[in-house]
Amino acid sequence: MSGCDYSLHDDNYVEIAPPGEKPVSIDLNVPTNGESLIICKEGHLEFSANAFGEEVVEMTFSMGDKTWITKETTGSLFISETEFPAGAYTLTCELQLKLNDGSIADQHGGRMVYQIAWPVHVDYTMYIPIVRHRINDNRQLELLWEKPFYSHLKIKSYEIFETSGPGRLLATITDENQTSWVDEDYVGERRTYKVNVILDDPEQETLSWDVGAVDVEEVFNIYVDSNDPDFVEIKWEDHIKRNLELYVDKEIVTLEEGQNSLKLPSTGFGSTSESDQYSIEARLSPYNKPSQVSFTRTLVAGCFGKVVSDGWTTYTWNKTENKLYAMNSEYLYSFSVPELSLLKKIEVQAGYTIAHIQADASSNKLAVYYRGNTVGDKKITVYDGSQLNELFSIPCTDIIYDGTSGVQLFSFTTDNKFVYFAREGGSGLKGMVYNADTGAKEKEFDIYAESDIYNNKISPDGKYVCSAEGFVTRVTRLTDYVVTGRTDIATQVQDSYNFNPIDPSELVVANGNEIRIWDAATGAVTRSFSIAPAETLHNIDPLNGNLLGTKEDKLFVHSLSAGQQLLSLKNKASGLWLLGNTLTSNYGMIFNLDKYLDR
Amino acid sequence: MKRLLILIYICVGATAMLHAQTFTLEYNLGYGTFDMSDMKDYLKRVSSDVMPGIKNTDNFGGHFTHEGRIGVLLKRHHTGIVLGYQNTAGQDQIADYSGEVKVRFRNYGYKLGGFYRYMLAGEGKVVPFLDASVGVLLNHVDGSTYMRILDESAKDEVELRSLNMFFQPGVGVQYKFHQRMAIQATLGYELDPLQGLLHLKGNKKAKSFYKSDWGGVRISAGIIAFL
Repeated sequence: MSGCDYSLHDDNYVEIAPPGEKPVSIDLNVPTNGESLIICKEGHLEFSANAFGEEVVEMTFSMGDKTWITKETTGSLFISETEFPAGAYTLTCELQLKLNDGSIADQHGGRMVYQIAWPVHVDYTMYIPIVRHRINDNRQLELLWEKPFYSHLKIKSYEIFETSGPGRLLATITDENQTSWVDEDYVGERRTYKVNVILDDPEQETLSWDVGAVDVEEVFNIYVDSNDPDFVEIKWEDHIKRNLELYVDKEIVTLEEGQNSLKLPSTGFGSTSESDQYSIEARLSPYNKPSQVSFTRTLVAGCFGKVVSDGWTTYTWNKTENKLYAMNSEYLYSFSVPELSLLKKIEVQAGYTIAHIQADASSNKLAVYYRGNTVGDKKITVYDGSQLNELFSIPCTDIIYDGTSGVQLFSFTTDNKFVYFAREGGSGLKGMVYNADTGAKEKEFDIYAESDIYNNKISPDGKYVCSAEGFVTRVTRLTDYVVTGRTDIATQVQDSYNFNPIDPSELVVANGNEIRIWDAATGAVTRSFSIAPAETLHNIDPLNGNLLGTKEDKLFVHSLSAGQQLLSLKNKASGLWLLGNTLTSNYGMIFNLDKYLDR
Repeated sequence: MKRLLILIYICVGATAMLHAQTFTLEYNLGYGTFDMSDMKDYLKRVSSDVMPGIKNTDNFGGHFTHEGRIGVLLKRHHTGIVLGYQNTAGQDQIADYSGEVKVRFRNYGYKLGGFYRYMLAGEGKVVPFLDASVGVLLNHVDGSTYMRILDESAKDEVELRSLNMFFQPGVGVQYKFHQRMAIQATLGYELDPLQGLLHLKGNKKAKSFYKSDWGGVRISAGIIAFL
């Protein structure tokens, strides 16, 4: 029957010229190395496409497993570190153009498809300094950047922003070939600059793309050189062309052209407190706008000494290593002597107590007392003083301690022992003797006392224990840590007594301004001398037996032989110790006296 | 349909029994025009949905018709069964470099009915006559939409069915060139007084709003054998 069918016509062909290749362009805001796009930080990768009059219907970007589909010809692709770990990728863009020729395919959504691909290198460790900075010959901060190149976008201008504060536009540069800019208002502070390029897209709106950003570290450095007991010197670095006004205790100081230091009389040793020092303020303004102070730096200065620790700090000096150790509630430090350079710093978490540290006079060992937050959580840890490695710990729940600062809780002896003082239960006062190499307990001995005595001291040779009890000072004589006798010295010694580190049989006791040297064996006064009235004795230097005393705002160093004054310096510290010829303050400042005293 | 066949059979049989009769067998090749106004609308609507701007190439134009008759001639009365077949098609189509779109409907009509012819002269070589046929017309419509865009193509097809009743009066002339053979020519007009709505093949409930109207002029020529 089909042979009889009505014949249909198939001749309605419409002549439309097939479209030829059309120019398309895609600009990306990403640095390249000439071969690959370089992505070195997480963020937005901006793009702009142009089909020169043709309608872009859709763009599909792909990289790795990620696909972005957009109908906008400008936008950005977010590149995240989690989705794109470092490595090599290919970014492809499939750009679909409307046919726009009225053809059948055009009316049914048929599109011309162009595909562009770029190799991509992702490396988040890489830093590409697209925007750089320098101090130019005119001593001004100059930003420099590379001119970006685009295929269809036209550079209209550059915008310079300062973004470290609330963000503000500093300049607009309309010359596309100018790739540097001088910030005449920069005075030396830390700043972050961002450079944007403003682009004219012939088919679209104006675009603003990041060129890059640069952090300028603070180049104005004002600091204190406080290594002289007579004066402190305020110094500053003068890299930038700008105005500087310097105020000392709110009084302006007249500075000479090019002057970059100022000497002030020192206020004394050892305090970090603002009330003990000068208040220094540096006000910086642009060189051509002296009234526009844009940056200030303040500091306090006046006390001499080197600040080595925050918070309440205690010290000890090790004769073998000739090192000074400092400890606060968090850290234990070691310093070289006399340079006082930091050698080592370890975290110790000493707990809520005043730190106690004690060095061994005959080895490089160092002991630290720790009290935890629970009752009975007490221990003494012994360190190797060279590297601050922990050697062993001795539990000491029975240690006798009333929380007084400066009390000697324990001590090393020259016969390689370690002794601390304890009261166990209802028993009497005891000396606990440990092997200083192994931490093994070896002996214990009784100390005669009618009441609790918190301030007991053992002589460096381990032959005497001195315990001050009221109006009597008791000296317990030991032979191989067995009590062999007792001598009561009828004097009230308070806290200022110690054994002579040069001759351990001598007990040095301060009674007011009178210093008496007792023979520990016999209880007889061997010699005595007086220091200035109202002068307080602080300690005896374990290096040479020199005595450290203070009176009002001065500190004094006396020889132990006859009490002559060796040195007098201004002082602002209260917790003072002279250790190996180094003055230490509980405020965390130290100052070596080798230049002023014989070792 | 069954009733109609029985009725035709009874008429023919009764006539044969009453008089001396001559059996006839004839074939007529003709040409017809077709109204198909609904189908034209249908094609236009489908095409405008598929492709605005598509051109019409064929609009259910006139085409050959085929008809066969078996009858009994008794004096001047000639009656019998008529079987017929006719078809036409409509098409909208466009093509260019990027593709091609065709929307096409082919309509087939299958007729079954009875005829009655009255010979206006009893004897002679040339005898004019009056003619009428009536019956049912089974509509088959094959619709298709073909689309090729660039390298991709797709074709949708649909088959529709419906039933019409036709009535076709006409006049003609017969030339008997042999004792048992004659040729004849007829001019008539087909009317489809009852037209069913086209529905999907196999699903009479899925009806469209369109009918297949075969109404139009019929011209035919044929040959008849007297047995």
